[in-house]
Amino acid sequence: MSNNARSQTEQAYFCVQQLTKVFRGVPAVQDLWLEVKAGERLALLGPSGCGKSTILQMIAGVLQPDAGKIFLEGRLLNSVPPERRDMALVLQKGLLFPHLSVGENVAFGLKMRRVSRAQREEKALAMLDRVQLGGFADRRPSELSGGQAQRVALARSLVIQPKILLLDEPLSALDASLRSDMQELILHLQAETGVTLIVVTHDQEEAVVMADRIALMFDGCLRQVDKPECLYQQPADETVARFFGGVNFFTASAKAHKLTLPGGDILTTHYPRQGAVQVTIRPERIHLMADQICGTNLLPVTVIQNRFTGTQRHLALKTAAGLNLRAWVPPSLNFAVGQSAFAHLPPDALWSFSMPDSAGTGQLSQASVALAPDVGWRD
Amino acid sequence: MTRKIALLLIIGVLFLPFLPLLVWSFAEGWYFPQLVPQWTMQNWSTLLTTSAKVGQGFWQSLVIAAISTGLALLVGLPAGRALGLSDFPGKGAVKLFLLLPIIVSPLATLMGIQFILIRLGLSGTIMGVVLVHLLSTIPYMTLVLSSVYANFDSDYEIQARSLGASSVQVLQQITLPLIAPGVVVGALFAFLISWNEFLLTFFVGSGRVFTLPMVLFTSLQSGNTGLTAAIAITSLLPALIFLLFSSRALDNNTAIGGLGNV
Repeated sequence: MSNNARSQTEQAYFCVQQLTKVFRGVPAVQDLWLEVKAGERLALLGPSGCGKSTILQMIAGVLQPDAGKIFLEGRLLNSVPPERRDMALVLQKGLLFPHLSVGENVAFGLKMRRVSRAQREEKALAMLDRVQLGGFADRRPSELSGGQAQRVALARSLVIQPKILLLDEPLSALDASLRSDMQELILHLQAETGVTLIVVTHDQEEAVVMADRIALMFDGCLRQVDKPECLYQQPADETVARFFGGVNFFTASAKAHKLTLPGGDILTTHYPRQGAVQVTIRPERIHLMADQICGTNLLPVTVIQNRFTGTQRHLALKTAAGLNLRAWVPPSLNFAVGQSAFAHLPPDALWSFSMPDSAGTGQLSQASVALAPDVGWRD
Repeated sequence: MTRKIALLLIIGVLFLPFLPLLVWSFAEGWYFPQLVPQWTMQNWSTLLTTSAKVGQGFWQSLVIAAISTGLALLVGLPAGRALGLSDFPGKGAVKLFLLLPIIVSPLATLMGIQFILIRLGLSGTIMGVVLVHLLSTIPYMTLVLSSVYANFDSDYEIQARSLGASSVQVLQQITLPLIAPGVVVGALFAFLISWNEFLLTFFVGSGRVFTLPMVLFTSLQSGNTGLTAAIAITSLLPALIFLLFSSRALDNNTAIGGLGNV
């Protein structure tokens, strides 16, 4: 990916090269390369403390990187102060200025740009209307609910017509119902204004809903930058797969499109590989049937656990060869514990990556999947 | 409403002890068994004449207190910010070091200070007096402002920067308005410390810098109780005026660092 980024420097609307930040000897962000197209929605996703917010602050210019370059429309931003970067940052807390009214808060950026009073009031009021808070201009920030404050913060950032809108966990302080409303509002405003969006989040569902592309990070390093679908179906490694809720991992020996399982079962995959590989399949992609209908990629299994979750049934399966699998099936498919069935593993759902060569986390979990005598629900 | 009544009560309790002063300042003589004294305006009219040096003392005190407060603010704002917002090794030691001028009696340091100021040619000058007043005003100011900054969320500044405010604009539009009550409290402390300072002013001023406490002292020595009372009341004025003007800022709920926070 690095080489790719290097060659396309000229064309990228916004790009970050080799970005590095070290806090007290501990690297928070390491050699980060990233490109964003104009009008694109990119999510920086990762567990808390993985360096996402640090990246956002360096992009916004409020934190100086230790190394690396940041370009917007071909212009090097490193020495440009934050107020002249054409970006607007919305933080998790909303941070409405408590000594200003809601209207003054929204007009703040315009005032700093020396827009006349009449004009900035007009624009601020119009923007408040667009976040459905018309008539709130004279309120104090302390009178607003969390969701309202966050909408004001959004309006305050959009009114200055930034080239890039940076959102740092903008929804994590809100409760679930408000969150989806806010997501809709952000997506709606983004589509209307065409602003480029970079959103930082630790919530993979939020990232999937809000972004065209997701940059997944662990410990200050990018693991995979891809469309949400690809992160689910074609994860780069086991850690990525697990982060997105992957639960089925097993070893196999690959020969082009053929995967031979340790027990002798042979599966076909759409993705050719060679040698020892680790195979994964999304639990919702496994089809379960009572009878042997179609011939290929069918494994005879025994149902050993059946949990009803409301919208799905989470089944634990064991093949004749002792392989444990999990399948999420529609609630209408009810299999009794102990019942025999056939699991169909579609060739396009069987994704694999080469084995981690050292005794890392991959090795460990693979062992526990293959050897565990009894299936526990580890999630 | 109840707040106002409580405020009046506090003011009453605070200022009742000063009532005899007020009576004395209008009395020609007030001795047992007189219940009320012989009223006169003479003390106050003497006060306004140049020979009493009250006007000059008032003016010099005002100038010295204003300059020391301003300089203390200049040092205290960045120092308080560093102590309140950031963590660095030796922070505790710096705080203790700041308290030293308050802990160590000026009596102990007086000789050395006077020696140095004479050598620098600052003895007997307003600037010299301002310098020694900074010894105690800077620590107080820094400590007050560090507690104000400790309650200040510097993310507001990041937010303002990203919305297009320059660092100067951030200070003007965001930081100062938000910490204003704390700054007022700190300035009030510094001003009053300088205003009431006697010992160091007396020695460093060498009789050439004549502040209000010194005028009061000489009047007290001459045994003129009425005039002394009038001067004492005069010396209360700036604090009262300061409080009246700043009460609005101190009452501001949205801002941080008011009296409640310090």
